[in-house]
Order: sequence, then structure tokens, then C-alpha cells
Amino acid sequence: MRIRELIDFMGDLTIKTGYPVPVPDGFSYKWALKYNFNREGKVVLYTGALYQLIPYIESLSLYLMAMEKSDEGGYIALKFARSIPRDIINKLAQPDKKLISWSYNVLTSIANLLLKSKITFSYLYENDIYSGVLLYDMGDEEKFKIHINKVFKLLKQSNAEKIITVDPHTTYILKNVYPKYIDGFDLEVNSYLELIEINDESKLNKDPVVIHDSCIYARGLSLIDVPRKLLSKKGYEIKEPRRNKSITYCCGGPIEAIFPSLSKAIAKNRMEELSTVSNKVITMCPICYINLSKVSNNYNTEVHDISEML
Amino acid sequence: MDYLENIIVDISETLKNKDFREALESSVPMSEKRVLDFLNLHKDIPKLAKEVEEIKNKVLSNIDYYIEMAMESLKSINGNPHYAETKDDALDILDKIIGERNKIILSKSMVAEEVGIREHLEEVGKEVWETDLGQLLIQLEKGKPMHAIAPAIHMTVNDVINLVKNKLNIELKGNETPQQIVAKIRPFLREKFVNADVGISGANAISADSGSIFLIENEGNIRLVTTLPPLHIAIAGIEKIVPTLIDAFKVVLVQSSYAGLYPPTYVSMVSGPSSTGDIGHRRVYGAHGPPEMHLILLNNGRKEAIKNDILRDQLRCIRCGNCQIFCPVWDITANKWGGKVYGGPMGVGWTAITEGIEKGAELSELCLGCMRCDAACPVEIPLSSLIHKLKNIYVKPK
Repeated sequence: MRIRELIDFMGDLTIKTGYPVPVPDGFSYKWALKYNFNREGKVVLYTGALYQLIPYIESLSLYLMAMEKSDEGGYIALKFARSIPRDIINKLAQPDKKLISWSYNVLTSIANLLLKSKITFSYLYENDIYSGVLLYDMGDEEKFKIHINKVFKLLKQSNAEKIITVDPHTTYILKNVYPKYIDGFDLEVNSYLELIEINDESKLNKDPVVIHDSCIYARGLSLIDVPRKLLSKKGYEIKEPRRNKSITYCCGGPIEAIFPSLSKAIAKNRMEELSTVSNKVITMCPICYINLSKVSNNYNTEVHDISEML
Repeated sequence: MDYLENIIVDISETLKNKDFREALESSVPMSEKRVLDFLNLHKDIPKLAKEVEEIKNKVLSNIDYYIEMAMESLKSINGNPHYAETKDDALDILDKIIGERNKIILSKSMVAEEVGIREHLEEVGKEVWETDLGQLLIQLEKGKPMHAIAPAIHMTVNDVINLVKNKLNIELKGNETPQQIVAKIRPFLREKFVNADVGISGANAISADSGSIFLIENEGNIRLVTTLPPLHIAIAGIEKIVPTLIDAFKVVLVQSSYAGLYPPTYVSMVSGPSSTGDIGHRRVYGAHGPPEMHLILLNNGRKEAIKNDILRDQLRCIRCGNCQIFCPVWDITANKWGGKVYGGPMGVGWTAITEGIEKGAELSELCLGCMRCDAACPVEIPLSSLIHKLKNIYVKPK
């Protein structure tokens, strides 16, 4: 019943608050307060809050693991967590401030890259809620359906016709899954990576970087050449791990909540391979970033989100 | 604890086992690379795999017709076909065929594992030996196969030395090379081959038009199991039937390619019992090979799966094990992430078919959804979406 508890917990919370883990008000759009984006328009930047959620998913996971006092225990403690008032969980599960600041920096970099590429877009601020991807991935089809209809309604209310996404999971779920579940889904969806242009070509002789392709971008959306072209234009020498492009290897992140120690073992497997190619690893997904970062010290590597490199 | 929790506990223990880790690390990346390099050089093989996919779909659309055809064809060449609806039926048929015969040798067969043939025969007092080296190690370990093709993939050389020393009482110093260990086991198994009353094999493919079974291997034990004892019994799932003998050959070529074993050292085609017409121009049976040959075709959930929208595609599986090698979860857990017999991405579907959809649904929750298995499957089984649909059943049982 333990994993069912976790799935129920995340599903219930998503229906209730719009997000799968306890979060404070405004956490998803604080990064955008310094801009004065329109709240309506044909082109909408929709983050799906995955970058912003990472610090909170991490802190909840750490809290649950601590409760169980074992590496495998994240899911076990959910049985208890559901009966604990949310404000207490919020206090106990303190997110890493550096991670929050990292997620805001990534989103700022992405917004700036879009602006620099002369792409006009609006942003939903408090309505930039979760895409529901975790519910889908864990198999909670019923609550997923309820939630995504809410997301679709919010996007339509903003007059959106085209959606710009920032991570592979949100891109995939909107582009390939939403249309199967929502009658009349008519939004065009693209990752920001497909839209931005790098004009300030730099030929600086920078350290070589190794690309860790996202499974979802590479196999789900065939988005393989785009990040390479962008990094090349920026003057980076790109190194390839053996398992790259359409056979890229998973970071282990998707099962982090269910089985943390297995997730970590997979991350180590991947990082071991990446580290033999370069000590600078480029990710393009917040889940890959966090899961590989957690083991990077063991391999003397540093992990960067692609947006920070462009 | 429910089924999934038990699996998680077992895997958690495995994560602490350094030998298990070392054994997988020393084989899995190499196996994956070997297959990829081979496929890059042999562009005709993926095309052949596409043909196999279509062949399999054709049979699944008309399974009863092809079962009937395979059984009639085997009868016409003096073989003995049997149809087993369940695992228990298969064991009853087996008991009747074997009768009082005592010494039994097995070649590696996943369906024999599925039915529990070795355990059953041991329980009723027979002397039973696995002859595939990897499977013999599994028998000695009293474990389950950890990969579709390489059952002892999780064992280090030291693990093997200890097992062979302690369970077979074969004298080993502890520093032997794999070559030396094999040389020590060979005479032990030789005696079993020569004195066996019954040889039991699986089948990689069965041709409906001729009643022939195809078996591929690299050790040579299958040839001995199917020819030395006076009685040969093959057991296979009904999904192994293909329309023609040529189709069956295509299946084994594709299977060996994606298993990293191309060209297969041995391909055996068995069409009924051994015979000769050399004396008096009359055909008599049992010249050098067995005079009696049986084939047990097992259903055990397969026909029901054909009608199931989620599970049907899994029945195209040719058990090459490539999805296992490709899977990041399996790379750490081997078949610990699996049911009684089948593990990894293909094992989720096969467990759902052979042990019940609920068990497959529980296993599905450990899938990353990374879609790497989809890229590995030669017959384009949409493994990740099949597993995802099982997750829906886990959350909301039907």
C-alpha cells in the first residue's frame, strides 16, 4: 500500500492545490515578478512549474527518507505524511535555498534567451500551474484527466494558441499526451530550444562539455540536433558519451520518489560514463539536473542546465 | 507487505551486494555495445526483424488455426504433439510421458521455468540436471534466471567457483579461470548426458507447416539433450509457432542477432524422432537420436492475452533479452525486477500474461518511462507504453 499512498498523496494534492507536493504561495512565478509580462496573448510561456518544484520535491523526499531512516523509505512514510497537517510538513520540509535560486536563474535565462531572440510571449503568473506529468507517469489517469482539463482551461482563458515550454517532460505531455485526453486540444507546443536563436556567435576556446540528452527530448520528441547546434554556435566543444542521442541513458530521476536508492544507483551508472568524457555535464531537464548533481561530487564533475550555458 | 514492496525489499538488498553489481557491470555495457555494433554493420537484420514482426502478428490473429496446423504437421512426421491449457496440465502431460524413467536432463528453457518443471520433477524423486552452464548455476543456487539468454549474468567468477565447489563437490583451488572451470564441469555433465533417460528442451520457434522446432545455442548442450536420451520432450509457449519453416529460421536469426550471439554457434532443427530407412528400405525410428519425440504447447494465459489490448503486443516477443540489457533499471537489478521467471521490461508484460495482470501492474511502477526498451526491441513491441498502461491498472485495478 505504500506506493499507492504516495500516488494518492500527490494526486490529491495536485487536484487541491495545483501542485503534487506542498509548496508556498507564489513559488512558481516569483522568478517572473521582475518582468512585466502580459498575462494574455497568442503565445504563452508555460513552465508547468517543473523547475520550480524541484527544490520542494527534493525536500519532501529528504524529509520522508529521514522519517523512515533508510534510503528506500521515501514512499513508506507517506502513510504518516498524509495524516500530518500540511503546514507542519511545509515547516519540516525546508527546501534548499540554493536550489530555489538555481531554478529561478534557469527560468530567467530562458526568458532572456526568448526576448533576445525577439519572441514576444505572455506569462500566466499564478496560473502557471503544474502540468500533471508525475500523475501521468505514475499511472493516476483519473486525477491526471481532471487536472489537465484545468490547465487547458487556464491556457485557453489567456487566449493562447501557441505554447512555449521549458522542459522535456512538460513539452512531451502537452504535445503528445494532452491531445489524447482533451477533446479539441488545439494548442501548438514547442520547447524554447526550438525557438531561440544564438546570434552572438562566440569562438572562444572553452572547456569541452558533455551532453546528457534527455530521454524524453531524444526518444519522445526527436529533439536531438537542436541543443547541439545551439551549444556549437556559442563556441562550446561538444563531447558525446557512448550512450547518446536516441539511445541516451536515463538519469534515474523518474523513480526518485518511489525508490530513491535505486534512482541513485542509476544516476551513478550514468555519471560514471559522462565523467569519462568531460567533467562539465550539460542537462536540459530539471530532473536530470538534480539527479545527476546529487552524485556529481563522487565523479568530480559539475552539472549545468543548457540555458545557463547559452 | 504487498507484492511490489517485497520486490523493493529484495532489490534494496541486492543494491548492497557488490558482487552482483560487479558481475553486471562487467557484462551489460559490453553486451549492449556488441549488439549495436553488429546492427550497424548488418543493416539487413532490422529488415528481417520487421518481417518477423509481421509473421508474429499474422499468427496472433489466427492462433487456433496455427496451433492445429503445427500439431497435425508434427503428427504427420511421427512426433507427438500435446496442448496444455495450464501449467498443471503441462506437468500432468509430462508425468505421463516420462512415467518411470528417472534420469532427466534439461536444456535452458524459460517456459520450463515458467511451468516449474525442474522443481516438480525433483519433488517427485527424479534425478534432474540442467545442462546449460548458466542454468546449471541457477539450479545450484536455487535461484531464478537473471536474464532471458544469460541466466547467471549476476554471478562473478568467484561466485561460480564457490557454487561449483560446494554444490557439485568438484575440486577447485579458487583461482581458476572461466576456461578451467568449464573444463572441470564438462566431464561431470558428460556423464549426465550419456546416462539420461529423458531430454527436455524448449523451442525458439516452431514451424506450423512442418512441425519442426528450432533451437539456437552456443554451448552445444541442446544438441546433446535433444539427441542422446531415448526420449525427447520439447515444451514451448503457443506464441512460438510461426507459419513456415523459413519463418522459423528468420525468427532464430533475429533472436540471435539481438541477443549478441550472431552467428549462433548451433542451430538445431528437430522434425520428429530420429529415423533411418537404410535397412530393408523401411523407415524405423531411433537410429542414433531418440525414437520418441513430444512437443507440449503451453497456453497459460497467452490466448487470453491475445484478446487483451494492453498485453497482445507482448506476445510478439522473441525473448532476445535486448530490452533487459538496454534498461537502466534492469542494469542494476537484473531479473530481481520481475516475476517468478521473466524480468525487466519484457518481464513486466510476461509476468502479467503468465502470473496475472495484477502482478505485472505492480512491477510496472518501477519503470522509469525512459523509452529505452522501445529502442531495443527488434519486433517493435511498444514496451514503455504497455508498461504505462499497466501502471494505470495498478492505480485503479479493473
